[in-house]
Amino acid sequence: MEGKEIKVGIGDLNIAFPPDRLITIGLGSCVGIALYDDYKKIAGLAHIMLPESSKFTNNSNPMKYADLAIPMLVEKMIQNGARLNNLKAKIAGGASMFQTSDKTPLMDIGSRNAKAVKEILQKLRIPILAEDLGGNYGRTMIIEADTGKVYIRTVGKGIKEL
Amino acid sequence: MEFNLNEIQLDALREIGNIGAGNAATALSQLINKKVDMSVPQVDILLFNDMLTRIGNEEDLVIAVLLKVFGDAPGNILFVMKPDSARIIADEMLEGFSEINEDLYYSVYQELGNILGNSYLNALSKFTGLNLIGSVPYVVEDMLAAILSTSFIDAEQYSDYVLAIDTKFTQDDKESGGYFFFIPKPGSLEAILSKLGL
Repeated sequence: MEGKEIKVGIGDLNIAFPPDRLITIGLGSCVGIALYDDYKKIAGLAHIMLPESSKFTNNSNPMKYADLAIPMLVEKMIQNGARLNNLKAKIAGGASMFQTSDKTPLMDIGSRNAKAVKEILQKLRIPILAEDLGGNYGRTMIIEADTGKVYIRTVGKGIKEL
Repeated sequence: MEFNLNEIQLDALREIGNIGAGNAATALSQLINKKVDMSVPQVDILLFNDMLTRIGNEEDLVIAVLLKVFGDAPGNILFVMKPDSARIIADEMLEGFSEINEDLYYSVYQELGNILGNSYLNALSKFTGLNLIGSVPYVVEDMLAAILSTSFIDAEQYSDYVLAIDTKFTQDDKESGGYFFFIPKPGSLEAILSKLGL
């Protein structure tokens, strides 16, 4: 593959143009939100940790929270030529990493993150084309700016297109 | 979470880590019948990514055992091993067993976490007089970044900087072993320090 790989950390977001791609590694209970404008060929990726900012007083980094990060990412894409009406989303993550043998989820932060992300995308009227949420495993998420294709890499299951 | 700790407080937390991890190392050594060394515990306040790179790379496959800590100083205990180290420890513990399957390994890792985590907590509890209870252990085999981030988030550590009292175990002078973390929830350090009059 040509182009650069631009890394998005935890509580981080970025955009990319062809032929580059965006990657975020090791989504556990966090959720990755990949947005794409098919006409302008602009990709965006955010990696959120928490559902909403209102419960926290120390909002030093708004990119951690789903309710702040997604509008920020949309804004950044629009500033760079994307149109809100063109944006489509693919989302992944929100796992419950630690499960007992009787499979009761120990930490529901993953599902709360996933729920919040869906609600915010719905509010912004951005359709969700595909999702890979929940489970008990980590995910690495990649979006290609040229095609808008999103790939998910997991341990033991290799890489697949979302 | 803000971390405003002076040198005396950091020293006290390191000593706590030392007592806890020392007990856990002794337990591990008896369990596998081998010499286990430990590094001097560190109280690390680091950017999340720097915490991670001390163990390995983001996508490295690791085996981790997590115990939730309840009581007066809640948090998480996390023991992280590279797969080959985990196998070495497990095979020592399983000596004499003939039909070993994945379920048995899982159960051995659970037991390992149980013994290490609870010897740490018991020591901490005795030393401070705090009431500390460990949950059943949860075992997971996955990417380092996913495991570590989830463990800190679950302990309500959401800042750019995270705090952990951590120790590295090595066995038989080899580089294999594991990383032991106590990840306190907000308020837990204060509870420990106030019990010590600091």
